[in-house]
Amino acid sequence: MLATYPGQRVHEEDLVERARNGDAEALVQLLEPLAEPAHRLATGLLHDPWLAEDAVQEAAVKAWRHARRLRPRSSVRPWFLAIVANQCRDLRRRRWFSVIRQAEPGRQVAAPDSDLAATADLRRALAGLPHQQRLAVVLTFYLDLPLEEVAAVVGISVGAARSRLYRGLARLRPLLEMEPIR
Amino acid sequence: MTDLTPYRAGVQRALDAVYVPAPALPSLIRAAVLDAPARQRRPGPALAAVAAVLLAALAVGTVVWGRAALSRSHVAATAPPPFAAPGPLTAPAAQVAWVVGGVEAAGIDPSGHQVGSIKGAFGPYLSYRSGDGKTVVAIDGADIRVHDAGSGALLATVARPAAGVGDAAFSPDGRYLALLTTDVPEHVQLLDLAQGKLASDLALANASERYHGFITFHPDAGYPELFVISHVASGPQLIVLGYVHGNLQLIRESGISMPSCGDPAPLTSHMLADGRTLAVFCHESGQLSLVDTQRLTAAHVDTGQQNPFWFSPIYSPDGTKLYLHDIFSETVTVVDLESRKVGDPVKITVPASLAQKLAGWFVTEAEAGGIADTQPISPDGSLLYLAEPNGLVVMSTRSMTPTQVLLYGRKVTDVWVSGDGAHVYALVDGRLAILADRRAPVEANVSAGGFLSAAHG
Repeated sequence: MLATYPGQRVHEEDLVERARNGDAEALVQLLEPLAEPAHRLATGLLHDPWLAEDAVQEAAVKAWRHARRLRPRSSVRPWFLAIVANQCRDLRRRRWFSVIRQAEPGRQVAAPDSDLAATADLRRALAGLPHQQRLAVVLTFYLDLPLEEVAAVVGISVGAARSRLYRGLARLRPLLEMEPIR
Repeated sequence: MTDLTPYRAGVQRALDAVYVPAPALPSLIRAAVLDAPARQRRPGPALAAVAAVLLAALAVGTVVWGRAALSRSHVAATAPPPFAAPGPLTAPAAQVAWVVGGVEAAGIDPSGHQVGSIKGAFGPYLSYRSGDGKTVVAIDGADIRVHDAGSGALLATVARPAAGVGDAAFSPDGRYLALLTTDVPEHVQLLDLAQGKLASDLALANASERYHGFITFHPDAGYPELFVISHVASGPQLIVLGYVHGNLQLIRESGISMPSCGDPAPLTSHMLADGRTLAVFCHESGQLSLVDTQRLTAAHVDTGQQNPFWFSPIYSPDGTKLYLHDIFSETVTVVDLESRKVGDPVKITVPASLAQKLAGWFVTEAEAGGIADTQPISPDGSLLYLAEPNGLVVMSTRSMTPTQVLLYGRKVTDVWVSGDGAHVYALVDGRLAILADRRAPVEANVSAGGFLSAAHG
């Protein structure tokens, strides 16, 4: 991850400025270290690693098209993850994606292992959450992002992000067999 | 305050089950950004006004579909659904084996009775039988003749292209036969077998070199695409064509980073369960390429083949596994096509009860290797039928151990499995033997050098 110590921070700011001015190589240097978290996020939202790869690539192209929107001295990670999340939401709206999702129950029947079935149930429940709740859960628990950055990716306040996260968890609780969230 | 640790663990476990690392993704991001046309940048205000005028003009104009309008694409507008294995083929015609002897092929039913014969030049490595098992074609002189596989009756005659036929493939519903010609530039011709006519003819660009190509259909009839890999021996080019209502249209094309495969060296392919990744095996190098037909990229797996043509590839019908049978080391290597991992070679170990019968098991004569005519696997993917110099080994794909050795002591060179999996046809010392469960082999009175099948090994 970029921007972990002062020297790198300067380097990232320089790259951001160059990317804003149309330097594709600078943008690539900013995005390449984010490939892994972006792919995790997309897999967490789409539950399909190959489709997630496509989503991240498409998001990279969109980031290039909208590089001028990158704010000077801002962190690239929440900005790019937000683009990835939007790309995943667009993909889920397409008709063929629902075809893929409908195929999943059949695969469960073929794999009767109880742990597999439990994780599949949880994925289905995740897929059924509203987009912002699902995004908050995946960012928090699968990417281990702090709530401030979750809020930046979702585009809401920290308080609202906490609210989305807890509402999502409340809907997942029956599957996780946990105590109520207070 | 609620302890969220268990939630974290549960979510991570659920998502880790579907997560597969993508080590090539940084380089794919680089390619996607650097290949994106500069015009894709958001225009400034002045440019936006000009663009708006141009877009308005475009909106009222006529869109001409043509080669010039096509461009490389990393991601298709729509992606195919997952591919489901076809399952057993129960039509009577799909149980009839077609064996080749010289310039004639004979249809033999499971009882050993000859149902018909057809004349034709049956060269190696072409697909002469439809995937549903109901149709066989003969390419002879100026004609391509279409026959009913159940009786040998002539159904239609279509003019053969003047140029040579380099590769051929049936559409999944058996209606179309696609031919890749050997002229320059090479053409793809789509023959409508139901109507007995040429439906479409498309010249491929950039074919200035000597022909060496490969053609195959997407196995889902509801997803009408076919794939051409040209310039296999030099710089492989992937071309994706659509064929809605028999009209060939170029959808996308790209050079793909794929190791060249020597000439001649026919490729063997199979669509993976995701419906978009084409597994392509090169007999010469032993390289397995996993070609993403949507993104036009390829990943490669070294299968560990020691010498050219030693591995005989057998794909599981559901597109999840590749079995590489090596008769020289008596092994089968399993490739998991989903995780892209190559297992250690599994020795074909013979149970003690069979060991005495197999004293002469090892290959003693020199063999050059070759390409099998068929994909000898049961329709449900549970059994491999391995032709060995000293018998036919039936191997369970679940345990990867032999369950039976048939035709012991006889040299088996090729095996074809009937559409429903109930009968196994084997070429033994140049003659045909028909095997069925709990029944003595039936030997047909025909000389045979190979099978006509939907997919070669």
